[in-house]
Order: sequence, then structure tokens, then C-alpha cells
Amino acid sequence: MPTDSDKAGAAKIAGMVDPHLFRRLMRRAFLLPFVLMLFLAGVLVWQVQQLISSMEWLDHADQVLEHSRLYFRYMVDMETAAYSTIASGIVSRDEYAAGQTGVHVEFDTLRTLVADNAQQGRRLDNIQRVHHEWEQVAATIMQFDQGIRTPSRSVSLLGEKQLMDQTRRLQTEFVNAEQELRAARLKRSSGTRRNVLGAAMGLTLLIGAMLAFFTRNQIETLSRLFSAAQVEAVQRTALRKASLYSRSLLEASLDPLVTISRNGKITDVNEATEKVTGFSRDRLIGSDFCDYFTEPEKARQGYQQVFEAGLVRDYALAIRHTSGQVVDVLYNASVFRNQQGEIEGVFAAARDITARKQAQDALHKASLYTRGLLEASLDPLVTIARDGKITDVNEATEKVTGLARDRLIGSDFSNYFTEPEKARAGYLQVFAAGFVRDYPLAIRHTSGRITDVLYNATVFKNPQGQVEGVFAAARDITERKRAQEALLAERQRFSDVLDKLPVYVVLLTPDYHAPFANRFFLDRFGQADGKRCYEFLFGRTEPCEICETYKVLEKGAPQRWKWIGPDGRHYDIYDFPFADTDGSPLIMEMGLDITEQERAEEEVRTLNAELEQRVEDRTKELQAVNKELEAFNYAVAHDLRAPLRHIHGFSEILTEEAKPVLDESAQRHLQLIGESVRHMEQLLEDLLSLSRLGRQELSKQACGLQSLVEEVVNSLKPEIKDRQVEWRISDLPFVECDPGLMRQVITNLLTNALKFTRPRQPAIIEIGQQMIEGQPVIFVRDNGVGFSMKYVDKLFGLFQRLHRQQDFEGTGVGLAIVQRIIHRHGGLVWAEGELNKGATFYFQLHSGAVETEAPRIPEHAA
Amino acid sequence: MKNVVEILLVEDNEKDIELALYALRSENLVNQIHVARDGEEALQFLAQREAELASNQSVLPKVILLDLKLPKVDGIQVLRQIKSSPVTKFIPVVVLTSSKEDEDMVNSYRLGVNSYLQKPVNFEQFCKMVKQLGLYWLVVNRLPTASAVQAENKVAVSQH
Repeated sequence: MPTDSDKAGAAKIAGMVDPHLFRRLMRRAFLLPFVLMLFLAGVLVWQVQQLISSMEWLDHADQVLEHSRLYFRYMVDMETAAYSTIASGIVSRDEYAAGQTGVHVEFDTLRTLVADNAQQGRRLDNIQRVHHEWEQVAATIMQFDQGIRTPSRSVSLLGEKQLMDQTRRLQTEFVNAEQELRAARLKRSSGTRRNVLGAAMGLTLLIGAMLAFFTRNQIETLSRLFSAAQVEAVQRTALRKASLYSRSLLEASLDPLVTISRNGKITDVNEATEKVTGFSRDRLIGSDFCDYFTEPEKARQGYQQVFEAGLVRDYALAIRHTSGQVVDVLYNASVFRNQQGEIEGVFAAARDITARKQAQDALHKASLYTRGLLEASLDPLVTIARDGKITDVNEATEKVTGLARDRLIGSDFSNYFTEPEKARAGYLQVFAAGFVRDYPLAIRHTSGRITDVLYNATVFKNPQGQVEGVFAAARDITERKRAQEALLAERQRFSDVLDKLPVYVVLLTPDYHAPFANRFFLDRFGQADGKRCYEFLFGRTEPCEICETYKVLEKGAPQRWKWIGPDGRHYDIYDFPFADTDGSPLIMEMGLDITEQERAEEEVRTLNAELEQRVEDRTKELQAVNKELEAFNYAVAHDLRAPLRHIHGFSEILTEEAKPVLDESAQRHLQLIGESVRHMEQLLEDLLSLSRLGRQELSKQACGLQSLVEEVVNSLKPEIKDRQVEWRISDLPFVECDPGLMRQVITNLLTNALKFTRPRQPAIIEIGQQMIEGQPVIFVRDNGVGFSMKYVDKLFGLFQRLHRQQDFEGTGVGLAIVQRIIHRHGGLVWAEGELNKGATFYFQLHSGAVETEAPRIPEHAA
Repeated sequence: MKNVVEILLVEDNEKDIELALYALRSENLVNQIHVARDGEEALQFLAQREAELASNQSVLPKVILLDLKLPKVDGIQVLRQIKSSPVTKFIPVVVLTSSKEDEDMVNSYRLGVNSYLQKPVNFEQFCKMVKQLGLYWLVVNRLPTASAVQAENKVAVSQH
């Protein structure tokens, strides 16, 4: 029972995919009941309000009635109180007051209550007025004194009663009016109640029915929608499954697949495409198809061709991977259309032909390689067809014939030989026998040059096994021939050289034969004549025991030794291991005649020995002499000294003992004896020093002259404490010398300086260093009495003195000692002086530079 | 006390002896000097004195002045003997020689000489030297008594 609305609904559903629409409907569904409910609520509220209002008025009327009852009762109370007063004669003042109060109170309340009703209000005012009049009357009653009855009272009473009745009448009016009002209100109230209920029920039913109807509609619509959606969902799932399946197929394909849009952009790719390009799907989709090829233009043309022709087959392209690797492919592509039949895009599949290409390349390479080999061959190579025509040549053939490949191919093979018939015979033999070896021919070059060759040729067959032609290689033997001739010439020359050598050269075999010997050998030792060496050289029957020559074979190393030949001459032999042309081991021996040299050497040796002996003898002599000298010195030291001591001693004693007896002259003589003794002692001392110097070993060390000089100066200070001496010591270097001896040198020089400056005040003694001709020279200069350069040669002589003993004491040995020491150091010492001006003594320790150049000590260092 | 010898002088040359005695005389030591004219005599004297030790405690000389150039037994030999004997080794030996040889000095010290003096040629100096000698070795220097030495030697022997 599909209704129109159903159909509309269905149509809606058919077009309903829109969630907005759905939401709108849902809103509407809620809105309508809501509005209706609101309406109902409003009506009900209104009605209820009415009801309440009417009930309130009812209540109001009741209240008025109630209060008027009270009002009237209080009035009654007052009346009662007044009557009782009259009756009893006792004033019921309290009751009267209470009633009065009540009346007032109730009046106020009632007045308020009936404020809305003017009529009732008037009535009430009337009542109150009348009552007030009554009160006035009653009041007189209340002022009643006991036992006094007055006519005014009865008048009052009457008046009071009238008033009271009037009041009652008014009261009754009031009440009746109020009761009427009440009845009317009651009616209204009931009516209203009925209305309300009726309206409520009616509206509720109405709205309920409307809602029910509306809800039913909505539910129907919703359920339709739901079932439609369910159907769609099922359809979609089915679709998705189908598409997943087809997607998997695409992805599973090893061939890179792409879809290309009209504008050449990639719209979809499979995994294989991702792999072959090295880009992810996201990168690929939307980018230009051509970007991924080595020839983008060709790629573009490719897909354009598809768009035009509808398809393309085996279109060759090369895809470039991000890594740089290139894959060769063949594209197969077709267009695909949408439902309207319009072309949407191109679906392209690439077949990887790298393997195929690689195989092709390999084959190509191989064939290039083979060709290369053929071309590289120095031997002229040809292929000859059955009819004797050349079908292929290599470069060497071109060279040897002097003709280009084009000329050669297709021409007769035999044309290029000095003996064409022989050539023909040759290749016919190959066709017959299948091969030919070392077939001699001579090729003629266009220039006329002839090349001797040997041919080696074989047939070659096609895959079917039929003989296609002959493959021939020519070995150029002109060089070989020439080489052989040259070799012979060389050998001859070599032989000539050997023969002219002033040494003998012989080749020896391991079995003691001498297959070759040069002229020298033959002249000296004669021919071998096939005999072994020990036979023809020494006439022995066995090999020599001490033959060094054959050690070469043992050790495999060259030997050199001296030999005395059978002719008695000395030879310096050199033996070498040598290999014959065929590789067999030989010994090559060379011998130099050294007889004369040996003799000369012998003489030298003898002379040397003699010399050695002589030197030894001489040394022994010298040592003996030295020993004598030492003994002499020792004797001098001791034996000469002792008597000297005695002389001195006893002369002192004598002086002491004989002082009282001796006169001045005698004493003076004794004194002179003492002086002489002292002098002699000094001489002995000095002589001893000097001789010791000759014997002593020099122990050279690095020696600081500065400190040495300062020490000596210090040690001399006691001697000069009464004198004015100015020492000028400048930077002195380190020198290499014997420190003890150097000290002596300095001491002697300074002592001399002090001695000869004694007349000077102050004495100025300078010690320093000078450079003379680039060499450091130490000097000691004084401002003493000096000396004349006339006698400079005598200065250093032993016991030589240039001054008289009485002027200056001394033995004349000091300077000799200095000189001896300096000379022992290999140095030089000299002096300069001027009479009365002073003297300067110079020395340098080596004729060369001072060896140890230690850092200079600064002046005044400790 | 007649046997007390303070100084044993070992010298062969008469003149040297005389000079030495003269020098010593000026120090008033001449009564207490015994002179041995060669090595043999010196050693004999010492042996004799050693034997007398038991009865007379102070018979050994306080110092021996030894010349090196002696006939028969050489000065060095004498020194060796003196310094190797258990009793006499405690006697100070002063070599008084004219030798300036290092060899003599080194040998002497090696053998334990207490002092080594070279006789100056100058007599005045010689006298001064002798005075100093006497003062030092006879007055200033302290020596162990013979009994003390003996006692120590006994102990040393037993400890061996």
C-alpha cells in the first residue's frame, strides 16, 4: 500500500544521501509535538487560573460571612453585657469591653474585605453607624450605679432596643446580600470547573491524536530510510569488496601500472610503479607522468598517442629510479572511458625488458669483444668463401696488403700473393682436409714489399653443420728470420769481445766439461778436447777436492776466490751460475791474472810488519826513557831535598845558637845561606812541576775560566793585602782544558803580573777575552814594568829571566810551565810588552775554535 | 815512670833526627822520645812494649812519627804492621815525610794513617809544624787506655 507520501518518501530516499536533510526532518519531528504541547499547557493554565479565581471569590464570600457572624456576635455580647448589667445591677464591664474590642476588630476586617463591593461597603458603614449610636446608648447603661434605676435608663433601653433591631435588620441585609453573592460565585466556580475539565480532556485527546498520527508518520519514514540505508550499505560493501579485489590484482602485478589523466598527470599507481621509480604513491599521484623517464618528451608523445589512437603497443621507454638506476621497459596502454563513454584517462602497463636488453647488450658486447680480438691480432686474418673470395679481414690484413677492407672483401684471396697458384692450392686443401698448418706463402704489399708468412687455417661451419668458409691466420715470419740473423751476428760479436778480453772466460758443465772457452783461456791452458777440466788442467783422474768453482752449483750463488793455476800464476776467480740456451745449468767462470798484484801486496805486508816492529821497539825505548825520567824526578824530589832541608835546618839552628857570638857580617852570611837554600828549593819545586807536566795525562773537561780566575785571585789576596791592586776581569768563556793545569797557568800568569806591578800604585791587572782572526784568545795585561820586545824570544825559555834577581825574585820557570801546559793543550801562547808600560800575555787553547761553546757567564756572577 | 815514651820517632837520617829533636826540644818533649832508626827497630820496640803492658799500663807511645823512606822494612810496611796489630792499631801514626807523591799519601791513608805531613825545607816552618804536632797529639787528642782496649778486644773476640 504505497501512498503518495510513500512514493515521495521513496523518491526522497532515492535521492537521500544528504545528512542535512535528514537532520531537518528530525527537527521537524520534534518541533510539532512540542508546539502542540505548549499550546495545551497554555490553555490549561488559563483555565485553572479561572477556576482558582472563582474559588477564591467563593472563599472571599465565606470569609465575609464568617467575619460578619463574629461581628454580630460581638455586638450581641455587648448587648448581653448591657442586659446583664441591667438585670443584675452589676456592671459587666469586662464582657462589654471585650465585645467592643471584637466589634471594632471585626469591623476593620470586614471593611477591608468588602472594599471591592461598594454596596456592601455602604451597608457595613450603616451597620457600624447604627451600632455606634447603640453604643452611646449602651454606654449610659454601663455607667449604671448600683441600685439606681432611672427613667433615662428605660428610655435608653428602649432606644437601645430600637437601635438593636435596626442593627439586626441591617445585619440581615448585609448577610443576605453576601449570601446571594456567595451563591452566584459558587455557581460560577462550578461552571468553571466543568469547563476546565472539559477543555483539558478535549484538548488532550485532540493533541494526543495529532501526535500519534504524526509520530506514526515519522516512524514509518525512519524505518524506510533505515532499510534503504541498510540496502545501500550492503551494496557498498559488495562494491568495496569488488574494488579491493581488483585493487589487489593491480597491486600484485609486477608490471608498473599507471593511470594517466588527460593533462598528463598520474592519477593512480600500483606498488610496482613505486618500486621502479623509487617514489611513494603520494609523490607520484598528481605529478607529471613524463618526469620519471630518461626521455620525457618521448614519454609524453607516448601517452598522447594513446589518447589519439586509443591504444599503444610495445612503446619503448626507460624509467629512471631515484638512485639513478635505469630500467628499460615496453609500454602497453589503452584509454578507459566513463559511463558516458567519454575518455577519462589512459591505463598504461610497463613490461620490464631490462633482462632482454641486457642479454642483447651482452651479446653485442661479446661480439664487439670478439671483433676486438680479431682486430687486435697482429696476424693478418681472413675468412674465405667456397669460391675463393675474401669475406672478411682484420686490420692486420689491411696493413700487410696495403689495401682497405672494402677492396679486399669480395676479391680473390690468391691475388695478394707472389705465388697465387700456391695460395689457391692452399685454401683448397683446407676445404678438403678441414685444416692446414704452417703453409708457407709470401704476401705482396702494394708497395712491393714482400712478407714471408706461414698460414694456419681451418674451415668453419654454420649451425646446420655445413661448411661456410675458411678461417685463415698468417704468421709473419720475416721478423723471425731477421731476428735469427741478428742473433747470429750478435753471437759472433760477443765471441769476438770475449776473445779480446784480458781475462779468461770458460763455461763449465756440471760434469766437468768445458763447452766454451775464450782465447785467453785457450792460450793459457790449452784446448779441452772433450776432456774434463781436472784432466786437461792438472792431469788428474778425479775432481779436485778444494774446487770452489763447483760450489756454485751447490749453493746456487756466485763465488769469488783466488786460485793458482797450473801455470803457477795467481788468478782472481769469479764463478757465476749460468743457464744455457736450453736452460740446463752451467757455470760461467772468469779469471783475472793477479800474480803481480799479489806480489806487491806481499811486499807491503812485509814492510808493514817491519814497521810495526820498529814502532814497537821505539815505543819500548821511549817507555824505558820515561821510566828513567820518572825515577830521576823522584830522586830529585826526595834525595835532593833532604840535604837541602838539613842545610837550612842547621843554618837556622846555628843562627840561633851563635847569635850572641856572631857579629852582623857573620849573621848576614848565614842569612844569605838561608836565602840560597830557599831559592834552591823553589827551583827544585819548579823543575819537578815542569817534568811532571811532561808525563801527566791531560784530563780535559769543560772548565769555567771566569770562576777559575776568581778563585786564583782570591787565593792571592792575602799576599797583596797591603797593596792597591785593581782587578779588571771581564767575561771569560768556558773552555775545554785540564782544570788543574789551567789553574797553574792562571796562577803563574797572575803571580807574574802581581810581581812586576809591585812598583805601581795602583797595580792594574786585566784579564779578558779577545777575538783575533775569529778565534777567542785569553789575555792577562798588567801595567807593570813590562819588558823590551827585543828579548821576547827568551821570555818562555827555561830559567831565562829578563830581570835581575835583586829586582825581582823568581826562578824563570813560571812561564816555561805556562808554555808547556798550553802546548800540551795544542794551543798557542805569546806575549807583548813595552818597557815601563806593561806586558800582555796571550794564549789560545786550540789552533782551531774552542770546542765547547758553553753559554757565557755574565759578569760578576758567583 | 822512667819508661814513659810519649813519642816514637822512626827516622833513618841522622841529620833529620837531629833537626827533629832540636825542634821537639824547644817543646820540652825530648825526654819522652824514643828514636828507631829503621822499620825493624821500630817494630821490635813496639813488640817489646806490648809485652810489658800487663805489668805497666802506660808503656805504649802516645804518637808515632813515621818517615816513609826507611831501610830494611819500608815505612809503608811498618805502617801496615802497626795498623793491623790489635793493640798497636790504637796508637796514632803521623807520617812525616819529604815525599810529595800522591801514591804515598793515598797508600798511607788506605792503611789507616792518622795524619800525613810533608817536611818543609824551611826550618822555621818545620819547627812550627812540630809545635802544632806536639800540642795536638799529646795534649788535645784523647786516647783509650790500654786496659780499655784489652777489655774491648776480649768482647770483640767472643762475639766473633
